[in-house]
Amino acid sequence: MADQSFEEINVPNPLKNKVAFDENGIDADMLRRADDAVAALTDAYIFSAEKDVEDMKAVFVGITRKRNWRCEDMQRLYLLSHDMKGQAGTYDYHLLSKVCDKLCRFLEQGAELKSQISDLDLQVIEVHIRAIEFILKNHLTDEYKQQGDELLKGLESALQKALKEEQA
Amino acid sequence: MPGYNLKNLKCLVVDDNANMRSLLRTILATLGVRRKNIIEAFCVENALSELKAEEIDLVITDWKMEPVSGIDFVKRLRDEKSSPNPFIPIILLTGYTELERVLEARDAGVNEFLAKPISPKELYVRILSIIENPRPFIKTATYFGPDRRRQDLPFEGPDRRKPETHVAKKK
Repeated sequence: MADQSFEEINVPNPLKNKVAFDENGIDADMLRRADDAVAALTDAYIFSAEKDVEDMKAVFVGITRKRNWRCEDMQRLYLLSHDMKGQAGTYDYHLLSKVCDKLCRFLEQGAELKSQISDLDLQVIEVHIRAIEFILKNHLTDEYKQQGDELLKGLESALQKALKEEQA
Repeated sequence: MPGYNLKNLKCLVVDDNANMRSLLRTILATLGVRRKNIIEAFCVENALSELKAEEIDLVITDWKMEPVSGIDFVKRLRDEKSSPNPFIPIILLTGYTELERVLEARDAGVNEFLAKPISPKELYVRILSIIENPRPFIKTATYFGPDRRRQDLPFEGPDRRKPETHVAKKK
């Protein structure tokens, strides 16, 4: 039988001892200022995301040569896409986040389900990278919901077709 | 209106992505943390060195990092004998939101889990939770970290936290 004994350790509240509760503390105004400070970083983020897209295009060239789901270029593409997925939403680029999420999911499932990278797989990856580039270039923030939904629908359809390809 | 003043808090931000570190620095500074008290690390080894060199109050770490992940960093902080501070509060940031990932983070011993995209308010809520709802640490044969049960929700089976059902060795 597994050992179910346990020890409960009460430690002094580490943060409460370091923070004060006073008139200079965090209030709604301070949170608004923090939101503004984040919004002011948007241009810097877009600049850096555009560089990441150039990286994505470069590693895609490597992927087309190696045609291996687990090659270093593929891992790099996954990391770039994963980081973009996580950060884009902070700057109101939720569509970008969703496209990157789809790409990450495709790379995960492709590596799991498929033995080889087909031409269709490469097309699906490339169309995601192009979509990412298009969103950044045209600043498709959350106000472009309808176009965004159509784009996501198209990407999902291509992705599903590629994932089912080998099973057919 | 009064609120929590974070100016004396010393935070360690661990992320291999420079943009994310910059974003967290901006948020923390705007929430009142002194800029000199915001320390950045670009990898786990770098973070461990900072933790040994500085008295850090709060760790905010990403999950997906190379070569050592944020989850492995949390496990090392909680479990290793050489850990600079096994009780340090940890907020884990992640792009993963699946339930199994949340449970994996909880079982590694994080205090709070923050799914990306992050915002100042969401980060503040996690810091607030650590300040206002501290949890005791639990040590079992397989786990060391904050009590994974946050509330006294009804459940079936014996309550293993009660001394009459199991032997609790309190310090």
